[in-house]
Amino acid sequence: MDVIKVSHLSLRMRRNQIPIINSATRHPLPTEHLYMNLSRLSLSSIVVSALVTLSACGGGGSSYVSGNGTETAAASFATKVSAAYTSLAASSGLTSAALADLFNANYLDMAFNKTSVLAVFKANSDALATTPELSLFPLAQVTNPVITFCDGNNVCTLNATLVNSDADTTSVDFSTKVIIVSGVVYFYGDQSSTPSI
Amino acid sequence: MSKQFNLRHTALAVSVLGSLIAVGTVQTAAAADKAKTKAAGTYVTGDFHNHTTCSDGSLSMKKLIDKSVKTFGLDWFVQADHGGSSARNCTVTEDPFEPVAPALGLTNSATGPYPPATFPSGGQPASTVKGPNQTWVSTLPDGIAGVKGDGPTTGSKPMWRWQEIQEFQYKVTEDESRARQKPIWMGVEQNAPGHEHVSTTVLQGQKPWPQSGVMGNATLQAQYEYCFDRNDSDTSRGAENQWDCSVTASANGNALIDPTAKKIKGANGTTGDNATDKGHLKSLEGILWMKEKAPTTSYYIPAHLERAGAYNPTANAGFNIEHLRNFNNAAPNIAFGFESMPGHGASDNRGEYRPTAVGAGTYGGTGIYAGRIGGVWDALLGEGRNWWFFASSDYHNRGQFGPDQRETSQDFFPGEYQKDYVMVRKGTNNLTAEGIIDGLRSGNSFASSGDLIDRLAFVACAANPAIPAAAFKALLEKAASNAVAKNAEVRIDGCATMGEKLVVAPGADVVVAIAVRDPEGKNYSPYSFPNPSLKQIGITQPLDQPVLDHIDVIGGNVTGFVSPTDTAKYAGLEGSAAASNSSAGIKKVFNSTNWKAAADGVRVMSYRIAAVKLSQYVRLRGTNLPAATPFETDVNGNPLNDYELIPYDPAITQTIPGKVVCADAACPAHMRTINGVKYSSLDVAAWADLWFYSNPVFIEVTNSVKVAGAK
Repeated sequence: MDVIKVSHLSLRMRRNQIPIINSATRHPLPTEHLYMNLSRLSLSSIVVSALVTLSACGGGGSSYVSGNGTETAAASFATKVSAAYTSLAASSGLTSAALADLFNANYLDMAFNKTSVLAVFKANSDALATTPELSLFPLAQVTNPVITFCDGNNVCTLNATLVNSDADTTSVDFSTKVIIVSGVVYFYGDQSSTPSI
Repeated sequence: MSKQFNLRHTALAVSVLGSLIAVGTVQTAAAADKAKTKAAGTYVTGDFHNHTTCSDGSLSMKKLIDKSVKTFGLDWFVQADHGGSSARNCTVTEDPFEPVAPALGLTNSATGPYPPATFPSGGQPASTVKGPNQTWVSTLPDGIAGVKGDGPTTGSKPMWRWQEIQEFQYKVTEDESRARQKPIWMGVEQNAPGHEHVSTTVLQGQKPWPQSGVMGNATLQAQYEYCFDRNDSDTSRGAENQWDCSVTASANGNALIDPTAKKIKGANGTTGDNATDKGHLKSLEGILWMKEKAPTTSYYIPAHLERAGAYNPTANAGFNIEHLRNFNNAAPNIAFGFESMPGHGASDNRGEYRPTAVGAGTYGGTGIYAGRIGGVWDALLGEGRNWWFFASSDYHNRGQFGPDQRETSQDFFPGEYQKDYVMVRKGTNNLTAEGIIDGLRSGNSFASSGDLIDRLAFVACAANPAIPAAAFKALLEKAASNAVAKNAEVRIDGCATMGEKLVVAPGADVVVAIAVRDPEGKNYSPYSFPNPSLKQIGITQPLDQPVLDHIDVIGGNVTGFVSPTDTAKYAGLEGSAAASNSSAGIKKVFNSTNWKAAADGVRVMSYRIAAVKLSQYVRLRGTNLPAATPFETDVNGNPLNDYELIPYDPAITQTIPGKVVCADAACPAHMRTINGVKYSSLDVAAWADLWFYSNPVFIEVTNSVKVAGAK
């Protein structure tokens, strides 16, 4: 049995059950409405319904379990991250909305919060205007994303592979914390306020 | 006492140089190349400073080359005897050529039958009527008539080096190079006017492997020797060559050229052709000549530059920092570094650095100019100069041993003990001499003794905060590890390696990633008994299987070029403000507690420099000796003067005890021995005390000082 949290409630969820979200309020429905017997549904319909729920209706406050749409969400996030990383090679990418949109408002990773991350890129953009030889940021593509171990705040673990192919291919598996809000995945960081590396 | 360089002399030197600085071109700064623009390459090992009987060595060219590139496996080799003249014919090879396989304890033929188990210390005696100790006069078909230029008309007339190079030595190097399929070419260890020695090459015209076809020539190298070597007093203009040593960009309009010899005669001195600072001026003219004749295929690298003491304007002694600056200003693509890790590593006076040397000795085998953190090298790097660190073997002989014996009480063969590892981008042209010189000039190189490490990947990268920090760290460490596995460099946009600079906005974080390989197996030490220095602190480690103990990341700020008119900052002795960088220090220490160790000896590590605000550089050094190893390292891990371990014995009579007893039963008999007690000394002391030095990676912060002298 998987134990997950929904909002402030700790529930036991049987296999093949997913939480149903009230699309109007973006809050979970009362507990008695939460479950439906998924055994009656095909796997594809489960995924579809989950995705519709996550993408169209939002999912704030709900929880996610690997396999319940997180694959697609993770893949979508990886694509978005890779595109944003690639865009960092140009000045416009350094201050793009797409870049900012990778990070949750509460992002914190080794003392960098969202504001300070974006400030670094803004500083680079400014510097690039006067210093054409400014070094690029090392970039990478994110592949093989898998989201697991979501907690009650929808903070999950993203396992993926970073790949740099500038000249020689370097790939490394990594994991980091992400948060899913309204079906959208954002970097959440290790929530460490002190440099550790 | 070494001669001191006073302010009057400083002022003189600077005034002499005023016009020279104008003709010099400061190297254009450029950020680290984009990864895709860098052809793949590998680090290759070599040596550019060594001797044969064509100067004061003991071997033939062929045997020295054989030892260097075959026995000890170097990938490239530059044969570079002193300038001047020599009576001996180094192109005649030993007979038998390889009397025995290298092994410990072979009989020295001085006391045994002939043919010997090994040649004696001085090489094959000329009395055998064989080998390279025979004279030119006795071996040339036309005898003394074949020896050109000024000199006696009877007897054993020495041959000027220009003729040796041009007519005899070059052919041997090219033949050896092509036969062995390795780049081997001619250089000269110049007796630099005004100074001691400089390792030089003028490659133009030489056609070592992989070139083929019509033989090349070393005419320009020979001409350089005629024109600018302090010991070449020939005035014949190279006989039929009729050379003219004038320089188009001469700092003095060639006014000092002698009308007969067509070269500047004399050097530093006080009378006759010699005048105060004249030698240094002549040396600078030589660099300008190289720049004119072979701007991309020459180098000028001061050798064992602390050995002769401080600069002396009225004699030919050492180098102060202002002279290095002058050289670099005159031609930054030619004068781009120094041999601060000298040869003669097994000498009783390690490196042959006596107390009269600057620094009064070597420090872990390295001169004080690079060995002292915050010293001359850091001062030059603190200007943002391209000024790189090199090692050499300076092979002459093995002291009391023969060339085929494994013990030595004087020199190590090229490749045997210390060597330069240079990045060569092979591209489609494979390994070439030109590519190796490009690699030397690039600063993408490191030097190591005793095979302490044999591979290194070292980069500084702009931290990308959009990538989670742990993942970013892992990516760079993996890239470094991959590079070491391929004996290559990290090629990632936004990462700069040795000799390059990273350009970042103020406040950016920089991640330094390092991977080294501490090679498995044995090095070339013939000794397998425990390292006596480490034995002091309870570590039992065979001398032939050293283990990297730690790596220091050394950093300092870049504050910009110093103008030659700013005398106080430009010129001065070691330890002066002009020769110091007070911001330099050990920024991080890595050892077994904080690096990742792989089974194949690869060690991977990284650290983050947070929020950089000032332009700076980082460089590495490492050793097999922990900090506070008695008589070897201080509490901060800095190498101590090597005379701490084995005190200077002015008479070389072995009457002064050493500090570390060599007590193992296998400790060889040639150690300094007092009252029956053997002390770690000579080659054992060298094998016990191993270091590597990397060249720096510069980090330029956009609103800080420009790092102008780094690629």
